[in-house]
Amino acid sequence: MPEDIEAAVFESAARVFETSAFMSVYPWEDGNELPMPDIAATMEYHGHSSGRLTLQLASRILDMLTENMLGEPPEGEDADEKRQDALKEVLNMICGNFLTQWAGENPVFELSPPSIVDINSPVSLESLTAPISVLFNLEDTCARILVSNQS
Amino acid sequence: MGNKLMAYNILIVDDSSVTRNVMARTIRMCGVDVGAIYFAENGQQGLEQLEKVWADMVFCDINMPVMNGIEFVKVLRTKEEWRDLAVVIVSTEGSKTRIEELEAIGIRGYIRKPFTAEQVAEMINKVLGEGAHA
Repeated sequence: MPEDIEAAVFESAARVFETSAFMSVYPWEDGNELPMPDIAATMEYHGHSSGRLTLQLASRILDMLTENMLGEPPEGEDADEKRQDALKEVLNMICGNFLTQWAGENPVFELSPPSIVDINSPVSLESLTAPISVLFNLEDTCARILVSNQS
Repeated sequence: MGNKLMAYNILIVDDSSVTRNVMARTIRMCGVDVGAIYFAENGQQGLEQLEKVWADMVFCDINMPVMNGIEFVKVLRTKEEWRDLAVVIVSTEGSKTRIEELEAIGIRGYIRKPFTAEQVAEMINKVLGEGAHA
């Protein structure tokens, strides 16, 4: 049921952002201006059912996310790598928590490694179009999780 | 006043550099008497580290390239010197079936991501005992 998936995605995202990065998540209110998030990561899951989760954020919020997770600002030659790694790890946690919440504690899923999506590339279209889109307010910015699930 | 007899060395095996750093920072903050913290990006690197250094406990992810956490633990259990090494799995996975599979191959604990400092401290105390505190 899409509604069940949306609720499980939102609750999982709220738990992960609050526990791992001390960031508040609220439902996105209709009527708010909708600036499109501009950085994304995606991953697949296979097992009881198969599908794909894609997390999109505003790139300016990624610095806060990375700093909160690491306890220091992402600096130095590998700063971009740290930001991307933080985004991928948050998606990985959301995906694992979502699957347990949605499918229960018995099914085993195999998770693919998360990867960064180039949102300007035509090949990213598959990741960035999905039947289920969950918008949420992350520290007063718009964030989105897309779900393509094939039961 | 007790004498400090030893500090515990811990190996963290995870393909995410952010998670390795967060876990190391959490371990340092949770009041445990820790000596060295070693890092590996996958199970194969974890085995190579253990050939070179002594670890009292391992925190290990499941899903990693090259050698995943389950394969890593299975290899440890075949080696006399590592058979009893305490391994705690730290993963996003919450499947009971998967946890039972891991318990059957001898893991000492399981922490679900996202974790808190309290969960990590509790697990270290459970595995290494109250003497783990500084």
